[in-house]
Amino acid sequence: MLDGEEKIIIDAIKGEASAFGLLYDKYQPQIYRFIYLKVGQREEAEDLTHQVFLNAWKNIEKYQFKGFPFSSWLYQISRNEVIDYYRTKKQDADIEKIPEPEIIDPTERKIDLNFQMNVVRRAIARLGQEQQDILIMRFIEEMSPEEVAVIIGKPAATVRVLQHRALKKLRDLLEENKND
Amino acid sequence: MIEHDIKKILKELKNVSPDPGFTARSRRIVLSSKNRTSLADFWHFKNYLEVARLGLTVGLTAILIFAIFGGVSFINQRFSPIPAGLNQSLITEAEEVNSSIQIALNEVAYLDQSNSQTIKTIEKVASAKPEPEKEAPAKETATSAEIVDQEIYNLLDQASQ
Repeated sequence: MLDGEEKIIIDAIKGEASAFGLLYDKYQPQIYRFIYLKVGQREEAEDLTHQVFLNAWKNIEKYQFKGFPFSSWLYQISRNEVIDYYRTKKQDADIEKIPEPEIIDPTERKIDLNFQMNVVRRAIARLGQEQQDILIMRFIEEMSPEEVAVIIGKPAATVRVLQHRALKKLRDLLEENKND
Repeated sequence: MIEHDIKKILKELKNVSPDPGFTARSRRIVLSSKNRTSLADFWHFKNYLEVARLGLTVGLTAILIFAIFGGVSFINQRFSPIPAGLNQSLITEAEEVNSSIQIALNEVAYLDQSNSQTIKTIEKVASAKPEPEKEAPAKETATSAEIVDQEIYNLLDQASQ
């Protein structure tokens, strides 16, 4: 959460673009990451991320303070955007189209890590939407079960159960990939 | 792959980040979008401001004009060389003079009208043919002339009354 985030949000609700700009700078990378890991394509992820922030800025007056970071609201919008994306596109994530992550460090260790990251990313794309959301928010963005519960609209205890199942499913998919 | 390794790799996925060029473009478009979508609201608000400003200007101008005239009147009354009471008596006197002048004008008009009437009467009398007279005694001729003179005097008396 941003320092003084509540005041920043209030200013944004008043229409101050600079205030919303601060929120954009803070949360755009994680929203992009969340969408990218779900849809698996960079261009699609950019379009959807852009749409999420357009909608958020347009409807900022509807934001309600619930004691959680502003990102919770953004994640809710993101989930809806991805659902609409799949509804209109009527396509499943094509694993073969998922691009390889960029190699940041050309050392052998990093190359291997990047490879593993790509494998895990492909496996995540094969999970159900809710399992994807929980895995990404809990283990990649390291959000609390309570915050995830608000976003997906389920109790925190249910989130803990679902994350355990999602992790098990992911492990099974990775084992399956390893054996192939 | 054990669960520990999976969680470690999942954390590494946090390094996935958007292209900086995309971020800059998207940010610029998003932040400027509010101005376009709320343009109607902006114009309504702007019109409201304009109307309010115009009303305020007109109101202040009216107050200013009223204050100026009120101030001038106050200054005139306060600093006038003619005392207020004397000023009123002068006005009354002027009205009386006006009335006198008007009466005199009315009288002149009446005399003019009467004069016109007298002239017509004299012309009428003058144009009347005398009857052929036998040689009358001189006394009778003189009497006729006296009669005409008397008539003229009578008419002049009437006109002067």
